[in-house]
Amino acid sequence: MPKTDACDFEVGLASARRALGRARLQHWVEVGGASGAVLAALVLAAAHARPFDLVLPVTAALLLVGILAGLIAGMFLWPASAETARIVDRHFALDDRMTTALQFRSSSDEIAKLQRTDTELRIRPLAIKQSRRGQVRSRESVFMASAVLGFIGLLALGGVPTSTARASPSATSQDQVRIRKVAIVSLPAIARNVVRDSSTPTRHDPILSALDLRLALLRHQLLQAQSRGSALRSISLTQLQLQRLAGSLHAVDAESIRQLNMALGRYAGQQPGAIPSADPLLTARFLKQLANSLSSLSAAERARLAQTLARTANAISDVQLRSYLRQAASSLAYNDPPSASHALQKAASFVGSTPRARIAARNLKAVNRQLETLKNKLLGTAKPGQRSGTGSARLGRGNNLNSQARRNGDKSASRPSVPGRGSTKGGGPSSLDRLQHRNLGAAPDLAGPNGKASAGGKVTGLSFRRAGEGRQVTDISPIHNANTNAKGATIYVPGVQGRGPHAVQLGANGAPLAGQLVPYRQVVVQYTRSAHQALDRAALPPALQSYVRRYFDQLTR
Amino acid sequence: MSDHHPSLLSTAKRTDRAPAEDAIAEFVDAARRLETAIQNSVIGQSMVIRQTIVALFAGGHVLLEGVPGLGKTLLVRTLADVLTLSFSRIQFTPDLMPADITGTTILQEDEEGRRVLTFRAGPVFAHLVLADEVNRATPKTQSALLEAMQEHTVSIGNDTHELPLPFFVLATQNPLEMEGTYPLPEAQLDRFFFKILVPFPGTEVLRGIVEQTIQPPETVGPVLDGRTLPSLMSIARMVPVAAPVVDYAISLIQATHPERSGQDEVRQFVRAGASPRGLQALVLGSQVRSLLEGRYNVSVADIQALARPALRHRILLNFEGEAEGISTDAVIDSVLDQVPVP
Repeated sequence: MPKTDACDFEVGLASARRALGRARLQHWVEVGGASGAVLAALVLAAAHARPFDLVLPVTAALLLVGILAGLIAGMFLWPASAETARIVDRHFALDDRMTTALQFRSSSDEIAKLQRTDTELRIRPLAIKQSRRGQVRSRESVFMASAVLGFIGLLALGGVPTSTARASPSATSQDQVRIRKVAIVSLPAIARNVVRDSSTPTRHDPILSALDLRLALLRHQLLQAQSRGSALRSISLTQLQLQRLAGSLHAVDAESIRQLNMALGRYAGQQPGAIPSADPLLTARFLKQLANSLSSLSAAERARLAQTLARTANAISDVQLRSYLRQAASSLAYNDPPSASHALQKAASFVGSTPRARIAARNLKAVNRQLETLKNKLLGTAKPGQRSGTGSARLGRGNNLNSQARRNGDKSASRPSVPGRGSTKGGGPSSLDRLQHRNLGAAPDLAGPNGKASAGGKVTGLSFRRAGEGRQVTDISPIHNANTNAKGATIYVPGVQGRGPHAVQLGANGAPLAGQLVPYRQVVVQYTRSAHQALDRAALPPALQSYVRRYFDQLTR
Repeated sequence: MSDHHPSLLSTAKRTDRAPAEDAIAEFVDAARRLETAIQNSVIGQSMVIRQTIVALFAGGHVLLEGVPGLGKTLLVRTLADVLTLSFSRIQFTPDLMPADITGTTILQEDEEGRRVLTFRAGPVFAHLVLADEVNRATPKTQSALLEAMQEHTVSIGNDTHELPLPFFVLATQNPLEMEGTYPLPEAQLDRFFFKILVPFPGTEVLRGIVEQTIQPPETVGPVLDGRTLPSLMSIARMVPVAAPVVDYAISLIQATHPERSGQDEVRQFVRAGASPRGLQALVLGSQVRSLLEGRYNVSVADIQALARPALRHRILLNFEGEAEGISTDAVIDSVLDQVPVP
């Protein structure tokens, strides 16, 4: 028997170990891959029932993680030499020759050497790498292949669901492109313009912050939108929200401020125009100064101020400001300077917030116009300002604009209502325009087709249409025209103090006793106050309320 | 045991082969010659003969159990004939005394006529001792073999006499005859390397027996110098045993103990498991068997093949096991089935 290298068997063992290691690695990669594929398929199936974002990356990651985990496990379980020897012995029925040879590979004992030689001779003709058989079972390979194919099939057949609603059958790729362009390009541009156009103080304006938030929300909704209809609905909803936001704003109109300035100027004995009529901030400051000086006024001066405030309140159209002025006048008439001061402070604050409100309203109006343009873009009609009948926000009967007007307490102006049925025809101003024009007293004609604007800025000859009725009511302003001597018209006859005797006896509370003759001026003030209070509580038509107030105001002159 | 004779490796013939290979070849040749010679006398029973030779080359004593007339005594006598070793036969009877085995001191006149005490060696002083029907003698007499089997010495009075080496005890017992018998104590049973069951021969073997019987008997001459047995035994002890194989043998031994075994049969029917001598018997016998199988290493197959003869007499059944008629061989088979192969 020829002598052989006693270590030759280790070469064969190493070869077997490599083959076995690769087989084991393949086994674990298959197991890991199959597990990952099964998990990915489950996630994909669940996503069809409950869609969420990043489905494809998650499933791909699960598959890759499974394979990677199998790879790591296979490498970790790479067989040791002793284990390989056992496997080789079992596979080839070597009666533990390889195991013994490995253990005694460094023994110098004669029989140990003989044993190694015998082992090497035994394994030489063997395909030692075949001992890897059995490490990778065919059923595992089939399982992995089935799992991966199942996952791929599910992906191919079912697609990748996302968290947004499934695309409607009518959604086209072109619509998707438009919607995404609007969301990614147009909306951010609108938001940037708003911020850019705002002055520094208004950047921190809560209205602008709310606007920015709504635009961001709209962008998110557009990115999720799967159809043109849902995108248009989202834009219309945002417009509605902006309208509500605008409706919460309140800026005093310029005419009211001008009237107030003139009245305050006359009271102060200044020349007409001494107080800039266009600057509400100066008006507010003057009102504050007036409020702080009430306690130092004499009774006559307070009475004169009360009259001035009362007349001014009747002259202006802004309901809120009018209310503050009337409160101040009443408080002064009742000899309550603190309350009057408080009312004047509120009036000052109210007038002072006008510039911010105007700016915010302007921004909201601009944004609303731009949103309208975006809607037209989505519809494929690129004309700005036009409103499409499809998918546009319908304001409905008793529309929001009218209800906002009622909330704002504007009972004097009559204005065209936004039609509750169907859409406007032609390029009329938007509802937001009408709302702002009413509040701000701007130049644009609010009258609509039949209205005329007066030279003094007062709107006369208005015609309005009640929503849903289609009946036109003529203007009643001639009733209020003090210069009109017409049949049936009320004629103002100023009261004149008589020559008869008068005596006043006051009671314990300072009020005149019953049956006493009270000076006219004292009585008329009281009656005027009572009338104003009654009017504030009564639900009378605005025209009639104004009529009564003017009557008493003229009596007190 | 191998100290008295030079290593077979050093006395191996100079050939082109390695000395170890020559020594092993001589070992295998010797064993096969023995086996062949015995098989010529004892028809059939090849497994019994093989196991006996394994025990012989492992240096252990053998207990042969079988019904009368199966050739147990013939096997031992033939073994003694083919080995150039001294042989003595002790027929154990109930009236056998220990001194009948070990020898005794007698008063004798010397040449000068003086009466001196002289030790007269008993039949145990032989290389190969056949203890026939060992379970017929009293425990006291049986225990006389204990020291001889374990220590290879005999103590009589204040003197200790060494037995010749190699020393083998081959005992026989009849499993059927219960009256007037004294089962060997566990301690003595444990001294036996193997307990070999001699099965009743099959039809063909019986036919062979008949043919041999009607023919003139053949004399069997020596085929192996018994003095070489220690060298051969040392060769066998050099066969490497891998750690997994050793662990497997240990697992088998531990599985026979009811407190360590996870098998229901062992826990239910076994009172005591195999001793460490059983483990030694397994390993030593496997070394011899591996050489006879043409290998230079011990394998798990060797352990499994020798589990029965090495352990069957070392596992003690409890009352339930004996009442159920459970055999220790069945317990061993159960252990072999349950203990995983490394």
